[in-house]
Amino acid sequence: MPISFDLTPEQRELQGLASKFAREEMAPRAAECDRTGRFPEEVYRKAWELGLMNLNVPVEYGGSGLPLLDQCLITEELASACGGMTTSILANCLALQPINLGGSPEQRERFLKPFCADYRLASFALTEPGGGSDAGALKTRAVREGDSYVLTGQKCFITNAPQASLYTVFATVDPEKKHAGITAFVVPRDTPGVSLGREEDKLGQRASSTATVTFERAKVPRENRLGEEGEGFKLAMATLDSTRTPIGALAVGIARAALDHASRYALQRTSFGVPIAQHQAIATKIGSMVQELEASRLLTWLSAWMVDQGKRATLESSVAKCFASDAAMRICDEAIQIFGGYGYMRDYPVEKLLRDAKLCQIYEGANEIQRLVISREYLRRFS
Amino acid sequence: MEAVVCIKPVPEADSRLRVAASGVTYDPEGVRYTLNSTYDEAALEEALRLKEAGAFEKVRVVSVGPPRAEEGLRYALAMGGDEGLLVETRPDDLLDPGFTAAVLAEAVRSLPHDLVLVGRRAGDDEAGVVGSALGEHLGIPSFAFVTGLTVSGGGSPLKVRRFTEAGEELLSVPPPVVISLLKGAQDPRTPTLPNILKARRKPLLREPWTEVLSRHPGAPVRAPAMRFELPPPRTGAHLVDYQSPAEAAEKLVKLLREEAKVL
Amino acid sequence: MSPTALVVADPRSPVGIRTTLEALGAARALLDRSGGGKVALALLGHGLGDVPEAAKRWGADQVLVLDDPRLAIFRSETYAWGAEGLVKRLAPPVVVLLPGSTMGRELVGRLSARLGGGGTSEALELELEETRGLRVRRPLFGGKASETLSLPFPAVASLRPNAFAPSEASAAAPVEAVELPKAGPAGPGAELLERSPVPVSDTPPLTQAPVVVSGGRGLRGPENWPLLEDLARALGAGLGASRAVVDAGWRPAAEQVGQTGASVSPQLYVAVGISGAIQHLVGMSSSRCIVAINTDPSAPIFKVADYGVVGDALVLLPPLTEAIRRARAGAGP
Ligand SMILES: Cc1cc2nc3c(=O)[nH]c(=O)nc-3n(C[C@H](O)[C@H](O)[C@H](O)COP(=O)(O)OP(=O)(O)OC[C@H]3O[C@@H](n4cnc5c(N)ncnc54)[C@H](O)[C@@H]3O)c2cc1C
Ligand SMILES: Cc1cc2nc3c(=O)[nH]c(=O)nc-3n(C[C@H](O)[C@H](O)[C@H](O)COP(=O)(O)OP(=O)(O)OC[C@H]3O[C@@H](n4cnc5c(N)ncnc54)[C@H](O)[C@@H]3O)c2cc1C
Repeated sequence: MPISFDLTPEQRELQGLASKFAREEMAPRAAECDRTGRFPEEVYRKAWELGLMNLNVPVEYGGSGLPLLDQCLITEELASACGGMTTSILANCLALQPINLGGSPEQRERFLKPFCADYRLASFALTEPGGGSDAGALKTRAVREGDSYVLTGQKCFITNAPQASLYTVFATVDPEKKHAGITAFVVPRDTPGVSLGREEDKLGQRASSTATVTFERAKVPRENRLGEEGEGFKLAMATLDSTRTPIGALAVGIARAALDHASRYALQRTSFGVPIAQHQAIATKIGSMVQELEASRLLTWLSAWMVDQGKRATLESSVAKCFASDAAMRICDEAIQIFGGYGYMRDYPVEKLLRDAKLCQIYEGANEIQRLVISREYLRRFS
Repeated sequence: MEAVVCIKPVPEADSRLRVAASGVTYDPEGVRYTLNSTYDEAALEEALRLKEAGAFEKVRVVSVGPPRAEEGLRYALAMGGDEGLLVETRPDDLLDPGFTAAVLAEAVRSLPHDLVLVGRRAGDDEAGVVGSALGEHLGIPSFAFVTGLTVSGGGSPLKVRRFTEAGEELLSVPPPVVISLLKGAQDPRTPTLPNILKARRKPLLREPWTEVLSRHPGAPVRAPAMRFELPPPRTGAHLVDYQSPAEAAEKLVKLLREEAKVL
Repeated sequence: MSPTALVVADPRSPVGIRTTLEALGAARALLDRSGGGKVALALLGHGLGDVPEAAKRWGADQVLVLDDPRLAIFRSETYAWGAEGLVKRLAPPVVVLLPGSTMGRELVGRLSARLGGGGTSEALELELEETRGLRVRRPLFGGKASETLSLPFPAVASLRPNAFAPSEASAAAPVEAVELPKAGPAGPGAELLERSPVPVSDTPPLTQAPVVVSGGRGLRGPENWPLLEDLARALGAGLGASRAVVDAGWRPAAEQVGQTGASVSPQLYVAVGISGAIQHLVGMSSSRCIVAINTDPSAPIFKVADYGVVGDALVLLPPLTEAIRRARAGAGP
């Protein structure tokens, strides 16, 4: 099929739904939740009711099974209203994706269906205090005891952990084996031995919740193991390969909000007798911001399109996530500059955008790691 | 019983309007359309609630408009409408409300219509003319400024509550009837994502308006727009001069009534 | 060939009568501008009592009375049928002007469809076009734009309330009772089950209010807010405030209009004692009509306002509220 940038009517409708939800439900609460750090459960519940939550869960389990491109369109709209809420909404996709990809039909039935039948949250638990980037070196142990595994260890920075009813946990059955020992488990929150640390107080994305989860001899039945022992690392990477692109879209949404605010302000604010947009220094800023935004969006579309075509998109998804999140930081930074002193004030919306955008450079693989991946993938073509 | 809801896509309230090159309408470039004017959404919500309460077997949605009006109909189907009919105009056809009513009447006539619901008025021309004109063309009663509607189904009379400046009236009206809602059900539902996807598979018929109109007896007159105007840009306040506060008040009220026409 | 104007009266309520007088005033002015012509007033109903006696002094040249049980309650199909009968008796071309009450606005569609001429609602300006019809200017998009239509004869237009000066009292015009034919519109009518008084509406939320009245530091203190609240009540307006008074704790944060408060774009925005800082202006400058009251003639608010009164708000507000009350004796939806 020839390349087309025309969205289908259906895609426009999904975009319209997300944009309406963002405007009516998310935007009015964004500033308040940013200030207080409140987790707006009513927003997430409504998102679930409208089907905006488990976008990647296949239709046969009650999800909407959307192509990744459509997921990205929705994510951009949501993020233009609040990055933090969008992270919490997307967290279910991230947490359920290992079950989607690595679960048996029976496990998918058992674990995915309840999420589509009722409002529930799940968390993806990979990162540990000892290191996030080097996931192969994780320390959480899973020891086989009869028909069960006993998990001991700690996972930190886990999105939605305080509210989640289910965790997908990556632990090692044999630290000696490094990557090859890592195994994925589905752990219900109410498993004895699972406990929560206090909620983190964050720089940005404060409407999402983040906490440490501790496993103290938590016993998980064998039926909760995803795939075989040792397949966990590949499963984690495959999961992140497909959820990285929406992080690019999330960054695009935040950046778009910053650019829109800055554009309106530049036309309205006057100095030296003219709207500041007429000063070339401001106009060229906006010119650069537009370029970066457009490029970011196209990179996420390309990456999503490749995934939807069943093509390998490790390089493209890393490019999209890394470029879009770096661009979002520059765009938000310039937006604050255009707002002058007002931009620095909490009463104005742009400084929040900068704080929210920052996370996109860190989670789901820090951008340094993305660059390593990109160069490795690219250099392979020459070796 | 079966209901028909008429909907019209209109530009969003905060759209930036510019005069089109023709000078008789606005430039559609850059205008975002809401899927339905809020009044139509409320009317559809009312019909859907009545259907859920067992009053209707089916709720159909009809729109006369350019191809993009399909989006509005799909939205209505995603909200819960059963079938859609788009009477298609070309993007540059300008249909005034009276003429639209004649076309709409022929479209509605081809469908079972114990109740025809229209919104209070369109968000763009704000004419509120279509409802009773539709009733006339269909040869059935019509009631406007309706604030409440009870339908028990099975062809029994509808209870219609309407606003008049002399008080509210409760009427008993046998179907079929056209109802213009002053305000419909509050909080029209937002279609869910699965319902948006399902709406793609609901039947949506398209017919060119010329064909639909050919079924109309006689040729309805058209009242074309001659000119579209935007208010001149603000040039600073007209300051009221006065001797006494009472005079200032009188003068200001006169200006607001007669010049600005906002009272 | 001078046209005839027919005004269909709405004598059911004070608003109906006021808008009927406006239609009569508009009809007279329209005909006078194009060399005269006759204005007929139609009274439709059942058991009209002394209404015709009063109505003959409302400024028409002739009063036509249709008193018939089939017209006991207002239904557009019976009223359009009755009015059509009257139009046919008048010398063409005929222009039908309807009051801006709910009755007039509902009747336009049906009557014009029935007469086969042009019809429209919410007329702001009327002009006759020699032989062709009636030219009508009317608002679009809540007054953000307007269009001009050309309605072929017999033309029907309902008028926007308050857009035309009401007619003056006149000498008694002849009253003629007209019989309706026995055969009427087909189909059973409606039955009136009950009538209840008009419900009082509460004040609308700020962002949806058609009128917003906002106060700033110029009001001197929270103790003066009743003056503003009176004005808001008279206008059916929502209450707004500048950030300075919210910060001072005079008013709740929910009332703040501006960059860090609510954005509003009502038909009418009245800024009282507000200087017009840019952060305030971005929240309200898209209002259709802006009125400012401020002691300082160089206050920036006057640059964006349409009308301004330079003076002390505390002195100006009470008479303004009074004048508005008088101008708006009862209003429709
Ligand atoms: C708000 C928030 C929510 C999160 N949600 C989740 C979640 O739901 N689930 C989950 O599992 N994790 C989550 N994380 C964790 C996140 O994915 C990690 O923080 C991230 O992977 C980085 O790991 P780290 O913090 O341990 O940093 P480290 O790995 O210690 O890295 C520190 C710095 O060194 C750089 N660095 C590390 N290795 C290299 C290298 N080889 N070459 C060059 N530079 C390098 C990194 O890029 C970074 O700049 C979340 C984090 C945050 C802040
Ligand atoms: C980050 C930031 C965000 C802001 N956001 C907003 C916002 O969202 N909304 C907002 O409104 N402001 C906002 N502001 C504040 C804004 O800059 C102004 O300070 C504020 O709008 C001034 O309020 P005011 O007009 O009531 O007071 P003033 O500026 O003090 O004006 C009072 C006016 O009343 C007049 N006056 C005095 N006595 C009388 C009298 N007796 N009768 C009539 N007039 C009289 C005076 O001439 C003067 O013009 C913001 C400021 C900042 C820095």
